[in-house]
Amino acid sequence: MDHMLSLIIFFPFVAGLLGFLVNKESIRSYGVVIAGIEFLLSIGLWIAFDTANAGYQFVEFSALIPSFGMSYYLGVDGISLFLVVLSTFTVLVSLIALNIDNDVKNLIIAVLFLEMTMVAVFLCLDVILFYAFWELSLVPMLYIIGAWGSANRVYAAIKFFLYTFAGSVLMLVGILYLGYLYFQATGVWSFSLPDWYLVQLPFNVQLWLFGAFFLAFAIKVPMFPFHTWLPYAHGQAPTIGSVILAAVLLKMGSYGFVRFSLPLFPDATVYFVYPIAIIAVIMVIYAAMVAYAQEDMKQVIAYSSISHMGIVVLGTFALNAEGITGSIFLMLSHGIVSGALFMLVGVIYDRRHTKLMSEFGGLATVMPNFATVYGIMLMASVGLPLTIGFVGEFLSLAGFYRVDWLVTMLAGSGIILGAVYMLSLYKKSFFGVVTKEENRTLKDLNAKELFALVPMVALVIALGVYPKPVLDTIDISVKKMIVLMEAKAIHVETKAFLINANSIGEVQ
Amino acid sequence: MNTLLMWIVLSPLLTSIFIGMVYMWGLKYHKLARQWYIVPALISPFVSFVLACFVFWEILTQNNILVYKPYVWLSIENVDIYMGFLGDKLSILMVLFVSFVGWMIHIYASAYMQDDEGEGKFFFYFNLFLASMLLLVLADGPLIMFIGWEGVGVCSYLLIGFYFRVSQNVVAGNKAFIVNRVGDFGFVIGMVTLFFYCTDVGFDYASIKQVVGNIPSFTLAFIGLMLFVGAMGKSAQIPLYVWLPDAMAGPTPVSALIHAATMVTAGVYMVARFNFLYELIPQVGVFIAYVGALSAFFAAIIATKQTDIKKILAYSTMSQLGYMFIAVGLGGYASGVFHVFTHAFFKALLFMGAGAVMTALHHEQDIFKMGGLRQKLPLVHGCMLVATLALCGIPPFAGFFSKDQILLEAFASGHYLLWSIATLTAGLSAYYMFRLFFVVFEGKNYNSSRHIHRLSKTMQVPIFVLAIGSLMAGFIGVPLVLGGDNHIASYLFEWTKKSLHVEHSIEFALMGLSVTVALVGVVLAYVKFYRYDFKKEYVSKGIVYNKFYVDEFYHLLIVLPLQSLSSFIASRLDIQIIDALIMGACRGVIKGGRFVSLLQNANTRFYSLLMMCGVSVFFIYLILVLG
Repeated sequence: MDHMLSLIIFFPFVAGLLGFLVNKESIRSYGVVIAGIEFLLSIGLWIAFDTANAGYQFVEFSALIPSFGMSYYLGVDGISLFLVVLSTFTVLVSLIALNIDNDVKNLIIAVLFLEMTMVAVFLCLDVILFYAFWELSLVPMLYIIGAWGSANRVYAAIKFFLYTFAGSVLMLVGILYLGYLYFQATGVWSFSLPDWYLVQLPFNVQLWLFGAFFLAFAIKVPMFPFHTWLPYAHGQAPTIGSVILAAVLLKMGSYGFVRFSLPLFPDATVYFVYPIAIIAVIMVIYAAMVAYAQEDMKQVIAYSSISHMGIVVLGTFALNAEGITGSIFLMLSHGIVSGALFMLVGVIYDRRHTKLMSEFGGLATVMPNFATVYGIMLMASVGLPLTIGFVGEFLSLAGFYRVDWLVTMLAGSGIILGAVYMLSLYKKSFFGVVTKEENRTLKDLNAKELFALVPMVALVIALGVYPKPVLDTIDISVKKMIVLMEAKAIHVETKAFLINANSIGEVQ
Repeated sequence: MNTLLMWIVLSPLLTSIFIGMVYMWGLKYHKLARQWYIVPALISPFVSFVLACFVFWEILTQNNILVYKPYVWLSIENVDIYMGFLGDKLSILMVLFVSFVGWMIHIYASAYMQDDEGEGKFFFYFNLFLASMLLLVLADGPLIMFIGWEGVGVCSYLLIGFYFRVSQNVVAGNKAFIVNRVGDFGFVIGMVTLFFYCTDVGFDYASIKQVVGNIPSFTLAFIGLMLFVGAMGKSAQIPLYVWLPDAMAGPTPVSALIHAATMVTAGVYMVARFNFLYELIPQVGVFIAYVGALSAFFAAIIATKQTDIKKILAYSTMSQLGYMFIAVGLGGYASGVFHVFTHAFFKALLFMGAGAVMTALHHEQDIFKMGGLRQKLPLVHGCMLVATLALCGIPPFAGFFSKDQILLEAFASGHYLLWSIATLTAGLSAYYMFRLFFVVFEGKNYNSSRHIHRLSKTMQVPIFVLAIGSLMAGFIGVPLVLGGDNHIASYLFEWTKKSLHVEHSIEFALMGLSVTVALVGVVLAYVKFYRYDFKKEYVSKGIVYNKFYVDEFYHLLIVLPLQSLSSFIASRLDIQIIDALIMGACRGVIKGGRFVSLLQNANTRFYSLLMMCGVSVFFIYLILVLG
C-alpha cells in the first residue's frame, strides 16, 4: 500500500462528491457505508503500522511547487495514528446515530468533506498543506452549524468561523516567516516539517513564532480566555456537529502543540511553560465552575470539555514522556467520552426538544438503558480507574508533577470539581421522581442509538482495562520527539529543564 | 495457586456483570425469576471466601508471599505497572473476613430486599462493591489499589442513592462521592508524588519499599499526609466524615456492608499496607493518631444524642475507626487490623439487627418510637446484646481484646493524652450503645398494640452466625498476660510494634480501668434508659443533637461560596466580561471599518482633495528632510 494515507484522506472526499449523485432515500446508508469503509481503512492503517518504529510511516512525497519547497508530503507516526482512528470512528458513530431529516444529503456530504480535512490535518507533514486543511476544516463545520443548528445558529456559526479563522491567520504569517528563515539558513525553500525540525532558531525568533502558532492552537483547544466561541457553537450546533467538534476538532489544537510548538520552538516552549501551565490550571478550575452553574445539559458538557482540555494542555507542557503520552491518550479518551456525552444529550433532545436539566428528572426510571450508558460515560468523564478517562489524567498529572508539584495539585482539584458538576447533572436529570408528564412516555434508546453507543461504551472500558497497546505506540514517537527537542534547544537552561523533566526522581 | 488471587476478585466481578445484564434484560423484555440473580449473587462471595481459605492455608503453611501479575496495565517510560495481585498475611486476613462477612450480609440482604423491584440492580451493585473491595485489598501497588478505592466509592454512591426517587437519598449519595473525591484528590497527589520517585523501579509495594528510604523526609511526610487525606475520606475521619451519617439513606444491608466489610476499613488498611512508609515518618503517625482520637471522641459525643438507630450506629463506626487510626498511627498496625477484624463482625451484626428491628416495625428508624422489643424479637435481642457488649469492650467479647490492645499501644508509647481520650471514649461508647439497646428492647409504656412483622429465617441465620463471630473473634488475639497466645500478633508479626514493654501489673491495671469506665457507661445508660417512659416525648434539640452544626458550617463555608462563585463566573465573568471584551474588539473593527468607509464615498472631488493632500505631504517631507 504505497498510497494508503492518500486513500484515507481522499476517499471520503471522492465519496462525498459521488454522494451528490446518490438518491436522497439511500444517502443515509451510503454515508454510513462510506464512513464504515473509511474507518476500516484507518484500522487497517493501525494494523499495518509498525509499532516499533518511532518515525513517520507510510510516507508519501511528491513535490508540488519545487521552487518554493511546497510538496505533497504525508506521513503517520504514533502521535497522529490514533487521532486519525479517532476521527474516522467518531464520524462513523455519529453518522449511525444521525437523527436529522431535512436536507440530510447535504449534511452527510458536508460531514464527509469534514472527515477528509480532519484526517488530512493529522497526516500532512507539509506545513502549507497542513495549513490549507486546517482552514478548510472550518468550512464544512460552519455549514453544519449554520444550516442545521438551532435558533441562534448563524451567530454561533459566524462566531466560530471568524474566531478560529482570525487566530489562524497569524499562524500563516508564522509559517511563511519560518519558511523564509529556513531558506536563509539552507539556501533552499522547504515547507516540510521534518526539514524544519532540523533548524535551530534564535531565541527571540522562537518567541515570536511560538506566539504566532500559539494563538491559532489556543483558540482551537480552546484555552482560557479564548474559549467563548465554544459554548455558543455547542449550544447551537446539531448533535453531529457537537460530537465531531468536541471529539476531533478541539484535538487539532492540542495536536498542533505537540506537532509544531514543542519540537519547532523548544526554548520558547520551556520559556512559556509556567504561563501556559497557569492558564491550564485556570481552564480546569474556571471551566469546571462554569459547568457547575449551567442549567443546560449540553453547556455542562461543553464546559467540561474545556476543563478536560486544560489537563491535556498541562500534560503536553510537562515536556516528558508521561505527560505528553498521557495528554495524547487523554485526547483520545476525551474524544470518545465527550463525543458519547454529546450524542446522549442529542438522544434526549430529539425526544424532548429541550436540553434544560430542570425539564427532566427521574429519567432513570423511564429510560434505564439511556441512564446506564450515560452513567458509564459520566464516570469515564470523572476519570474513574478502569475506564478510559483515568489513564490519561493520571499520566498527565504525574508528568507535570516533575515540573511543578504545586501547579499539579491545583490542576488535580479538577478531580473534585469534575465530580461536583457531573453528579449534580446526573442528579437533576436522572434521579428523583418524574415530574413532567411528557417525560413519562419517553422511549428508551432505539436500535440505531444503541448501535452507535455500545461500541463507545466497549471502547471506554476496553481501553481503560488495557491501554497498553495504544500507550506504547504513542510513547515511542513521543520519546523520539523529546530527544529532538533536547538536541535542538539552543539554551543550556532549556536542555537542563528537559533533562530534569525526563529524569527519574533524584535524591536531593 | 497464584491465579487464585485473581479469581477471588473476579468471582464477584463476573457475577455482578452477569446480574447486571440479567437485570437489564429483565427490564427490556420480560422479568426473570429472582433466582437468576440471587443464586449467583450469593454464591460468588462464598467462592471468594473458599478461595481465600485456600490461599490462607498456603500462606500459613508455606509462609510465603503470593504474587500474581496477569498483564501489564500501563507502561510508561521505564516503568511497567502490572495489574498485580498480592497475597500476603495482611491482605489475605482482610480478604478472609471481608468475603465472609460480605457473604453473610449478602444472605441477609437476599431476605431484606426480597420484595424490592430493584433487587437485581441491588445485587449487581452489591457484588461489584465486594469485588472492588477485594481488589483494593489484594492490589499489589497503590495504583491498582486506587482502582478498588474508586470502585467502592462509586458503588457506595450508587447504593446510598439506591432509592433515587427520593431526592434526599441522592443528595446523600452525591455527598458521599464528592467528599470521598476530596479524599481521592489527596490520595492521587500522594500517589503522583510517590510515582515521581519510583519511575525507575516500578510502582508495586515491594519496589516502593526499596525507594522510600531515599526520599527526603519532608517529601515523605507530605506523601504520608496526602495518602492519609484519602484515608480520611474513605474511613470517615475529621474533617471528611460528614458523608457517613448521611450514607444511612441506603438500604440497611448497604450500611452493614459499608461499615463492616468494605469501604470504611479501606483507609485503615491503606495505612497498614504502607507501614514501611509510615514507619519512617512517626510524626505524621502521631498526627494520624490524634485525628483518630479526636474523631473517636467527637463521634461518640454526637452519638449520645441521636435518635435514629442507624445514625447512632454510623457515629459509632466513625468512633471505632478512630480507635483503629490511633493504633495504626502509633505503629501498631497489627492491633489496628485486629480491631478492623473484630469490628467487622459486631458492626455487621449491629446493622443487621437494626435492619431486623426496622423490618419488624415497618421501617421505623426512631429509637424512641420502638421499645419493648425483647419479648417480640428474642433472637435479635440476644444477638444485639452480644454485639453491643462486644462494641463496649466488655470481656470476653470480641471488641474487648482488640480495643484493649489499642489502649495499651497508646499508653505504652507514652501518648497519655491519646490514651485518656480513648479510654474516655470507651465509656461514652458503652453509654450510647446501651442507651440504644435499652430504649429499643426495654422501656415502659411503649405502644404494645403495634403489628410486628415476622422475620424470615434467611434474615436470622446470618445474624446468629455473626453473633457467634462477635463472641469468638477476639480469641485469636488473647494477650499473653491473660494466658493467651495472641495468635493475631504472631501471625501479623511483621506489622506489630516492635518495642512495646509494659509491666504486667500495669497491663492489668489498664485493662481493669477500661472495663470499669465501660461499665460506668453501661450503668449510666441503665439508670437513664432501662425503664424509659415512652409516654413522654423525647426532646431532640441542642448543639450535640445537631451534630455541632458541622454540616451547616460546611454548607456555609464551602458549598454556598462555590455555588455563588460559580454562578457569578458563569453569568458575569464569562459572558459579560471575557466574551464581551472579544466581541467588543470585533465591534471595534466593524466601527473602524465604517469610519474608514467614509473615505470611500465615490466622490471625485473628495478623492482629488485627498490626493492633493497626500502629494503635498510627500513633497513637504522631501523638502524638509532631503532638501
